[in-house]
Amino acid sequence: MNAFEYARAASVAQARELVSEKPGAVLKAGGIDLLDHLKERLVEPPRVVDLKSIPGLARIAAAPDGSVRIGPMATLAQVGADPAIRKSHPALAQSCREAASPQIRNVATIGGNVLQRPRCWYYRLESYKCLKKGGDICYAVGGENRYHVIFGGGPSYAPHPSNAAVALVAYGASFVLEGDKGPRTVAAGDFFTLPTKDPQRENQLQPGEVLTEIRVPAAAGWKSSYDEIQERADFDWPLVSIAAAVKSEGGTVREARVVLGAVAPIPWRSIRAEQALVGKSLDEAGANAAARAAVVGAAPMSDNDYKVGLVQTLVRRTLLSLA
Amino acid sequence: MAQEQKPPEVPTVTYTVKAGHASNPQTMEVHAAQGDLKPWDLDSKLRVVKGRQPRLDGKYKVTGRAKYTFDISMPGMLWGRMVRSAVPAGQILKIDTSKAEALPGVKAVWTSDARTVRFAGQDVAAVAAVSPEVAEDAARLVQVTYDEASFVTDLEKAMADDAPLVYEPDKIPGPKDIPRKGNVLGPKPPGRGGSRGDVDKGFADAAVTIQQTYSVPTHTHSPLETHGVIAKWEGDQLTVWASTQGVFTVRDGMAEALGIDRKNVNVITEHMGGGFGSKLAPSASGSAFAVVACKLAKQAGAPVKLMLDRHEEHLCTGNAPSALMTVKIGAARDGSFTAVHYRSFGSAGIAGGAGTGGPAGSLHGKNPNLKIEEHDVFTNAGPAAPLRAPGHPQGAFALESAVDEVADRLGLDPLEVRRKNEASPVRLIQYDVGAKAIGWERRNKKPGEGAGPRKRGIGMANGNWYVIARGSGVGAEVRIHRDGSVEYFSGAQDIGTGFRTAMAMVVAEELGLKPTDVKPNVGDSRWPEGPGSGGSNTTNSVAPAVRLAAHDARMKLFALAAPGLGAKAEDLDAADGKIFVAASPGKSVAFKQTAAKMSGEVIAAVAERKKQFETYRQDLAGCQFAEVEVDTQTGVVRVIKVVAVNDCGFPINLLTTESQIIGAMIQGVSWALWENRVLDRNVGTMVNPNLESYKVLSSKDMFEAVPIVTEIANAGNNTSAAGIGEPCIVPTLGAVANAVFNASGARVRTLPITPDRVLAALAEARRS
Repeated sequence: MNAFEYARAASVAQARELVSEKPGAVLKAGGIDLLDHLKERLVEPPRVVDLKSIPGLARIAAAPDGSVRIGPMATLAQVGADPAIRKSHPALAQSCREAASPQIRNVATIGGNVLQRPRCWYYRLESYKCLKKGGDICYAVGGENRYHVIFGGGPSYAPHPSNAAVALVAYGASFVLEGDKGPRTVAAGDFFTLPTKDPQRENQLQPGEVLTEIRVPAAAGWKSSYDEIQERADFDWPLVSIAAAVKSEGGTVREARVVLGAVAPIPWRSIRAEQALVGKSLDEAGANAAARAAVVGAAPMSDNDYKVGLVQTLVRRTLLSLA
Repeated sequence: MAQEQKPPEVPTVTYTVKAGHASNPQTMEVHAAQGDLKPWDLDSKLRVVKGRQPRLDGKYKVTGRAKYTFDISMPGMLWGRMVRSAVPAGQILKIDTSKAEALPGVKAVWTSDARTVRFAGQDVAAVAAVSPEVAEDAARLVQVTYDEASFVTDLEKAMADDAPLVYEPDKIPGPKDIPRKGNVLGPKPPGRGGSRGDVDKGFADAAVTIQQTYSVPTHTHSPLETHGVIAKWEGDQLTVWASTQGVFTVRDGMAEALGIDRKNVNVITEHMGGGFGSKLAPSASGSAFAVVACKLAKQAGAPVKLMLDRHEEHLCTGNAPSALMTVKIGAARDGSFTAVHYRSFGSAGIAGGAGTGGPAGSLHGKNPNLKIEEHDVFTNAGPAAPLRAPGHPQGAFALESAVDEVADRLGLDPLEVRRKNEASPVRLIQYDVGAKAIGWERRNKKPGEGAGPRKRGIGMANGNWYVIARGSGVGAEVRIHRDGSVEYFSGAQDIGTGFRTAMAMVVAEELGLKPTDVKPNVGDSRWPEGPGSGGSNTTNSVAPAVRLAAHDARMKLFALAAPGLGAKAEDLDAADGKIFVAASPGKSVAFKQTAAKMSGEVIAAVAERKKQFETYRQDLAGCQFAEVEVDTQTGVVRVIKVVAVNDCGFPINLLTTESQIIGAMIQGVSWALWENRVLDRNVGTMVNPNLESYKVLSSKDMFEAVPIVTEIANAGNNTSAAGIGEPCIVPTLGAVANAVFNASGARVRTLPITPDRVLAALAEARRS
């Protein structure tokens, strides 16, 4: 890594100031993603501004109405073990508990997890000057793409890496972003952006903005679950993940959320699968219909058509687990 | 890795030995060099050896006090860093180091003379600087200009007639009398076991014949400690601390490369963080980094530490070759084989030695007709290095998968088919032991018959290895001090196997002490010569010399004790810290009290091995049984349990022997299910040179590992030890693949067995 100046911020305002006065300066939360970037020289910041020194950013506050406010510096271990979240938003807790390894979950923050850059092996190596690094091509096209996207690809095909984000989109969470003009709130479903907009970004966080809070609305009356398929039992990135939530009445699904991870450049909400469920009962036939609908429009690459089948299996299994 | 040498002609003494397995003892005569001892055999009453002794260095390892090469630093030390080729093929037009040299803190720069690039990761240049950070910055400032050439990294593409050539035909490494075409060298003459009989006739006689092709990708060794050295000059004297499997290999390699005398080079390896065969070269198979470090140190006039990083470790320090193996087996209705034709193409990258025919040459010895054809295919990728039974895990995966396919076709129990063709009495014993331990009767009679989407199954496979020993040129020294303390010296290195503890047990056995009473001194080329740790030969090469030295020291001590006990030295024995009259153990004297009688300060006994004896069997038998669960909807495989049954001669330390077997099962399961070096097909560079996307088994994937040693009095040396490091990984890949088939009906013929492949194989099974 390059030599850089290390600064501890005492407040969000100071953090923003410390970043803005040094072009190229970066923020550090848990540091898991940043350290990888530094070591591979994907970034060479003149200054690293640590957010860990800001009081109160790791707070988890559950309101009596069942909504939760999560400080971005809460660790994945904290969120995954939080008794209120486990009860009110089990898919979010599960997504955090399944991530990485225990050692990493103890350090990685939920804010960092949601904002981390893709794990695409081309992006992660300095030698490949890919679209995401300002280059001209996505090496996954015609290359080694077994872990890449089957939805929403182009011109870049790297899957979004955050599984907590998959759960947050399913719960209709929103992100509070603090910038020059004060705080703004963006729905998780709108926050993540496709590479057609800008292949070098995965979300609409602006330079100088800081994620200061994650707001998760109450999910009373919803049943929800998170699941994933991975090659190793631990310390692996899923091939496919899912957060699903249903609200039923008298055995009939009234509302549904099906959000897929690791298959698209953003957490991939499958409106088709949701629509296929509404008005049906959550049985084998309903789950199968949703599974089929979930893969309509899938565009696998040369080596990843297996993900289409995995999506169907995961949608079916997860929905049936909610019955 | 094979270090067999022609035994020198020496006067011999003949011993009658009760050899083999306790359930089937065989009396045999061995011819030992005069002065050597009768092998421990089935009648020997051993007090220490074959017991379970925790590692003497265990507490230092778990508390972080054990110093690995990576941990060593010294005042004034510089940090070295290599620059590697960024392209897989071409010519280096220019290496511009001027910017690197101008960087403050850079003390030395080296550039390679080689101009032809054959793989991405080849040595190009190096720097030494005052800190690792400056060294990294300097390495990045070295500017290399290439004239890039077309390349080929894929095994099958490299076999095509129009493939880019990795070497001009006359430059292909390998014997000139072997046919060569394009990037393919072969067929090579069969190795051990070889070909026999007439396969055409055998196939004509067969009731059923199967032919299938199996493939294994390139696997990298991925030791936790990367390759590295610290090189320090004091005048003409060079000291190298090396993370190596062969301190003497490094000594000889550095002397040769630097044009200096061997006696001026000293190599030290106190603790070593894994090698698995990749650390047998003086530097590494694909890099001369250690030589470069010595040159940088000389140039800078300061010690240089040069440890490779994880990325480099994947690229240039060796790997297990990829392989494409076609196995044809003809069999009679009862499962007896009538012919086996084994044909393999393997790629060791830019190196030769990708043969995988060993298991085919050794297993199923009752089969009368065998033909083995091996080919090396050259690709623009880092050269292979021996990896734990080189070529054998790959070969056994193909062969043993095919054997199960024959059994399936005939509707026979796969274990029964193996019994029918088994020539080894040891493996016949192991079949029963292993089948009982796994509960073989629990397997699915019809593959995939289990209920529900998550299906369990059991499979097994065989493996083989050889008794490889250095029969001469290996020494040891044992010292008894006046205060009764004891230490031994062997220059050979402990690569994590527990070698230093095992040798202390041999000393303790001879002197009637506890292993903890013996101070080990290993891994230093100033001490008695030992072999490189390859071929599973360290313990069985060095233990006999250690025993000889300890025995000599024992007899010297007995001579001191004899007068006081009123007996002759040869009538004494030693145990529990006492020396006593064997016929009347009540007449005894303490070991320490006797030591105090010595005339000087130390009894030093130096011994050297003269020759290997005849062995009970020249092969090491093994078989493994695996139980897996296959999720037939996701294709995810979880290994539940693996039982490994292996022959290692006499285990000196049963505890660390079992530990090695467990390690091999882990590495084998990891190989079967995950490990896969991926080179980008368009650019030719590795996309997963890390431990994130080059996946090795994670803690949660750990299964119940059951190591079972079938003790064999091997008689090949005075301890009857043979070897274990390598044989125990040979069967694992095939056992897992066969268990996946038994669980699900999916026959996956390409490793690793990833979810996509399982799902594809299940779809194929449903179609047929």
